[in-house]
Amino acid sequence: MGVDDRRDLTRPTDAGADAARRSGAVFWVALVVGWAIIGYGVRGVLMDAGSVRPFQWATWIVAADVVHDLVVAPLVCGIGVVLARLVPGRGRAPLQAGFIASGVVLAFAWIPWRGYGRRPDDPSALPLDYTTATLTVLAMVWALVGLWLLIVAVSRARPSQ
Amino acid sequence: MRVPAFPFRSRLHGDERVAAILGIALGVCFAICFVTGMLSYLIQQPPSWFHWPSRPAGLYRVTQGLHVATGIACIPLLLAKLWAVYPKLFAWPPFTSVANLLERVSLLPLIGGALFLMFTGVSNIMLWYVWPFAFRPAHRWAAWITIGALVVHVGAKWSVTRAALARAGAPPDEPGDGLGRRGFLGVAFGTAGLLTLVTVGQTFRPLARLGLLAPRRPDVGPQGFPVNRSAVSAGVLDVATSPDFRLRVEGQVARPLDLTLGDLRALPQHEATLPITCVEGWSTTQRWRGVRIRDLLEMAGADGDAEARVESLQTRGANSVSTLNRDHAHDRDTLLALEVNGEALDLDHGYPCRLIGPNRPGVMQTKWVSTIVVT
Repeated sequence: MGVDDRRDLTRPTDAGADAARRSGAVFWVALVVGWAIIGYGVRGVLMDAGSVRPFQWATWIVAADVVHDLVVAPLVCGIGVVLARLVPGRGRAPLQAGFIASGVVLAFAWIPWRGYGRRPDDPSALPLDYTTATLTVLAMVWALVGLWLLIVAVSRARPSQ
Repeated sequence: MRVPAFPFRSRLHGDERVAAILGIALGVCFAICFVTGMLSYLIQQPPSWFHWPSRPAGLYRVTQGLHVATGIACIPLLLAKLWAVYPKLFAWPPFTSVANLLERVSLLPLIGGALFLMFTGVSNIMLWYVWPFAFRPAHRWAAWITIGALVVHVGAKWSVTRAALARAGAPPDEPGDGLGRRGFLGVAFGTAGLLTLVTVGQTFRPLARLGLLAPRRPDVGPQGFPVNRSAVSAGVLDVATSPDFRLRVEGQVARPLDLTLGDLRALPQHEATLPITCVEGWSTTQRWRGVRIRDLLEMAGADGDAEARVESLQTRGANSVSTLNRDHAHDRDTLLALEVNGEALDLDHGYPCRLIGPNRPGVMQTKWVSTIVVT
């Protein structure tokens, strides 16, 4: 699917047969080498079964996929749809940027904010006030969003050339 | 194979240029993480063919700092990439050939593995362990399957990526409100930069004050720098403070040594300014003082090319023993440190004595040393 036809998402995409044909030897060499490396990784998991616990390990990997595809991505798309309905016009882009950056910051800051890794015997682990820190970073993000909105508003107010 | 149009109205869903640029950035980042991660593993569990030098002193600090910082920067890039290609998840029919099936199946270890690596990596640097498996082998083998799946993916997307990037100049954005291609990429890379800025200070001292979300501050902890395992956690409080403490040097030596703390203090002392670099990504440089390991080996009559195993009073865990190859054992700055910054070591930093040497992971800078076994 090229850029020029991206509005028509129902057109055939770069299906495997196409990818194989277009990439030629690169496709097949990468396919063989890549699956050999995956096989090496799986062998390693089985060899280290005592510490890796293959079933739980695989469950976590599949769960990561499922949680992203069925929870996180739909949620993000849903927020995007709501935002599109509530905020028409050029002010939408700064808000989208703000929500994206805030979501990533919150996802990263969640563990220290909640203090999950803190240890009473080791005050140097997660030593900061992560509530204040997270709010500070979010404030930085939204200050930039505010600046962007201001620029959008000013440029809109100017008479067109 | 068709991708349903109806739920995906964003002009960026399916934009191959966005996917290609993010894909290349992720490919570079994953390669950096993979190489630096495997290097760290090889240093800690060296096979016979691998030799890790003791110089330059700060090399491991750079490679491991890069590993963690790059992994963190990947988070927004990966999420942006997954969002851009999300409609393809629902392509129908699900595969069109055996080759296509193998390529699409490899997306499971690619995406699941990448998300797994990021979650376990971030949780690990924050010392939060919520999984039933050992972190290091689980993270390591997930890296192998992810990088293998990435190789498959690169091969499958080789031509389409080149085509998307080869067009003269960027094609114009579709008209519409909201983020365009440039804006979306700017947000993805900008957020990666922001996360880096507020965390990298845990290893890059000039940015320490900006490390708002860093799990460690290089200047916070006993004697002004962090610890990764406390004396309480290691269960060494009593033995480390016992007046009966002895350091033994044994193994392949002509004269086994049995030294009190007073004996160690009476030996020639040397100073070295060295970084201590935790595998979790933080690092800090301190001024250490103590007895050279090579002097102890010489006193014990060990061979000039002897290697050694350093054992801790801590009896369990990865931190309880480390090895010194020939380079490290005989480096002028590899010390059995008794002091840091002019003070006796804090218990949490390894009192009464700890190993400190150039270009080593923190997990191999054994604390509460009790025995040096010459091999």
